[in-house]
Amino acid sequence: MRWSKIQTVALSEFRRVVWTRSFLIGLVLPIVLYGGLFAIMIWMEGKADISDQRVVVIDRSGIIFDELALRAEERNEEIAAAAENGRPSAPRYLLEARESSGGAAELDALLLDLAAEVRAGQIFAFVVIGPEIAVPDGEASGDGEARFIHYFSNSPTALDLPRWLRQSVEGVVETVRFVEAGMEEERVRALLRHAAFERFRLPERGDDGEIASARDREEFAILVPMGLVLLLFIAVQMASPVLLNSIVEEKMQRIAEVLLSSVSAVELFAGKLLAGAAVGVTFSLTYLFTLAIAVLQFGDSIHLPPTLYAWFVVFLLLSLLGFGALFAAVSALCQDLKDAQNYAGVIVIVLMVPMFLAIVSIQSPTSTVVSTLSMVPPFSPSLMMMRLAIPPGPALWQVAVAILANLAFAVFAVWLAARIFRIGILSYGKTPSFGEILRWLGRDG
Amino acid sequence: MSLDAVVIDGVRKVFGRHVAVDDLSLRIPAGSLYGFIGPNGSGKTTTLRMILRIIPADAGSISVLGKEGRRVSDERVAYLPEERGLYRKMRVREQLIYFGRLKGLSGAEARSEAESWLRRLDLVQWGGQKTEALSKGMTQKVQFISAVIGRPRLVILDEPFSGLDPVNAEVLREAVQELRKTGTTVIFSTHDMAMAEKLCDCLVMIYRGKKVLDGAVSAIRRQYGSDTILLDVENPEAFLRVRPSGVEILRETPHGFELRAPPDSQDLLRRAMAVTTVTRFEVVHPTLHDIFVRIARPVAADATTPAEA
Repeated sequence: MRWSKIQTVALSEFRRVVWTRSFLIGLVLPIVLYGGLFAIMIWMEGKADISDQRVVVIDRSGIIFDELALRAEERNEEIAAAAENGRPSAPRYLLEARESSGGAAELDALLLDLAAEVRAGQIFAFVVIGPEIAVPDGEASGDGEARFIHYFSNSPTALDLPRWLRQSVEGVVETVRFVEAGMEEERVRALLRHAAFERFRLPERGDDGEIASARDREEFAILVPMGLVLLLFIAVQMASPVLLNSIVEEKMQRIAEVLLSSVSAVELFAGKLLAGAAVGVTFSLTYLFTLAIAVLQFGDSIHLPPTLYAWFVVFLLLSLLGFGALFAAVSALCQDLKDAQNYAGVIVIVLMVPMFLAIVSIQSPTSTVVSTLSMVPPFSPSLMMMRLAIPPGPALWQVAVAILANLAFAVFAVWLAARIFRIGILSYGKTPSFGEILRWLGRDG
Repeated sequence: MSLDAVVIDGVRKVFGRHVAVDDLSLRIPAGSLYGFIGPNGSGKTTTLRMILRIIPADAGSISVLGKEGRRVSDERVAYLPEERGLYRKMRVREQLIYFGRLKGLSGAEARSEAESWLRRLDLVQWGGQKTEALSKGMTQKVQFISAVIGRPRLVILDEPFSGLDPVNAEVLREAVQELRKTGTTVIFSTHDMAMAEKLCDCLVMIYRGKKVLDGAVSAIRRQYGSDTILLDVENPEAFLRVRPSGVEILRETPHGFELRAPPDSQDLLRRAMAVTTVTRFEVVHPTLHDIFVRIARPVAADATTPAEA
C-alpha cells in the first residue's frame, strides 16, 4: 500500500465533506441553537413571573388552614430573605380561607364562583380539603372518600404551587395526627423537621493534605454519560455519508474505474475510511469541546475529567474504524444510494442497541449484562464509554479487554470490508447474493 | 522490451449465456493510435475493461505495457469511461488536480498540468465551476483532461467523441493526435466509422464479440480494393434498366448511386453513357462503413441461419 495515495484520497474526501456549507451549518447550527436555548432558559429564569399567587382554601376539616397559612407565610419570608438584588426567585403564596359548611349544592355553587374568579385573574387557584383529611386509617367514615385534597387551577403546567400545597397539607396532617395522639405540638414540629439533602463524591485527601469531597450534581451525573454515548452514535452517523454517498456515486458514475486505474482498491478503501473517521472525529471533538465548556461553566470538572476525553477518543476511533468499514463494504455491494441506505439501516440498528440499553445501564453500570456487553463489540464502545463516565468506573482489566476486543473487531471489519470493497466497487447489475460475497472473500489478488 | 503496448491472446468473456468477447487476439503497437470500431453491444467496451483489468477475462491472457496480472491500478495507464467518470459536485480545477495527484504528480505539477490543459482546451474560465454546471461537450473535455493529466503511457478512451458537436470533436481529435506525438499509445473505441478512419493508424473491428478486421487503416482499405464507384447520371431510371448483373448498388446519392462493380468498370461506364448523360464517374476506396457492412452482413446471416433453420 502506498501511503501518499491513501493520504491524497483521504484529504480529498475529507475536504469534500467538511468544506461544504451544509457540513459547517450542520456542525455549528445545533451548538448555536442549543446554546442559545440554554442561554434563553437561564435568562428566562431571571424573568419568571413572580407576581403573587392568591389561593383560596376551602378547609372542610377546619383544622388545616391556620397551620397551612402559617407555613405559606414562613415560605414567603424565606423567599424574600433570599432575594437577590431585591428580586425574589419565586412568587408569594397568599392563602385565603372560604367557608363551605353547607351541602353539596352549596359547595358546587362556590366552586363555580371560584372558577370564575380564576378565569377573571382574581385568584390563581383554589383547593378543597376533605372533612376527614387528618382522620387515620380505620377511623375514617366510608372508604375514606372524605379524605382528599382537590386542587383546581387554569394553569396545569404551573407545578410549584400544587407541589408545595401537597407537601404542606401532608405535613400539617402529620402534625395534627401526632398532636391528637397525645404529643406536644412543638415537639412534633421538631421531630418532623428534615435535614437538607446534598450529594457528594467519595472524599479524598487533596495535595494540601485536607480531606475534601466534591459536590455531585444529579443532572450532570446522568447528562455526561448519556451525552458521550449520544456523541459516539452521532459521530459514526456523521461518518457514514462520506462512505455511503461517495462510494455509491463513484460506482454509479463509473468514477471508481477511473480512480482504480491510479490507486488500488485497498488504497482507495483505506483513504475513504480515514476520511470518514476524520469527519467523525472533527464532529465529535467540536461537540466534546462545547460539552466541556458547558460542564465547566455550569457544573464541575469532576463530571468530565481529562482522562474521560482520552478514553472517548480511543473508543471513538475504534467505533469509527469498525462501523466505517462496514458502511464502506455495504456501499460497495449496492447499486444505488437507496439500496445502500437500506442496508446501512441494519448497521444503524446495531449502533442504536447501546442507546436503548443506556437508560438501564446508567442505573446499574456494574450489572452482569451491562458489564459483559461493554466488553463485546460492536456494543462495547458506547457501553464502555458510558461506564467510564460513571464513577467509580469499570475495572481497568475490563477496559483493556474492551479495547483489545474492539481492536480485533475493527481489524476484522476492515479486512472483511476491504475484500468486499475491491470487488464490489467494480461490480454492476444486481446486489450480490450472500454466496457470491463469500466467494469474493476467498478470491485472491 | 516488447514493442507492443497491449497483447491480447485468445481472450474470452461470457456474461451469463451471452458471449461478449470470443477468442480475441490482438497486438497493439506502442505509440500507435488504435481504434476499436463496431456497433453498440459488439464487445468493444468489454474488451477495453478487460485490458484495464476492471473485469477479468474468463480465458486467455492480456499483457499491458509488458505486465500481466489481475491488479487494476497502474499509474502508466489512464482511462476515460463512456459514462461521465467525474464528481458532479466537485469543481473542475480541484477535480483535475486530484486525478493528477492520484497519478503520482506532485501538487505543483498537478496544478500546472491542469492549467495547461484547461488553456489548451479553452476551459480556463470554467475551472472554478462544479462539473454539474458544465455542458456535455465541456464535461467531455474535462473528462479527457482527467484521463491524460498524469502523462500516462497508455490512454484508453471509450467513445470519447460521442455526443460532441463538430467543433468540440475536432478540438478533442487534435488533442488525441498531440498525445500520440508525445509517444503515448492511444486506444479508443467508437461506432463513428468516419472519425475512426480520419484518426486511427490501426483499427480492430469487433462484431458480436469476434474480431472481424484488424490492421492498419491504409492496408485494410487496400485489401478491400478499388471496387467502389460514385456515379452521377441525369436519368437514373434509364441507367438501372441497363445495369450489369454483377453491379451492386450500395446506396442512392442525390444525383446517382454508390456502386460496387466488378474489376472491369469500363463496361459499366459504357452502358451508362449509352442511355444517359454521366456527370460523375469516380473510382474510390470503400469507406470503413462499407467494409464493415460487407463483413458484418455474412456474419449476421451465419448467426441467424441455425435459428431460422
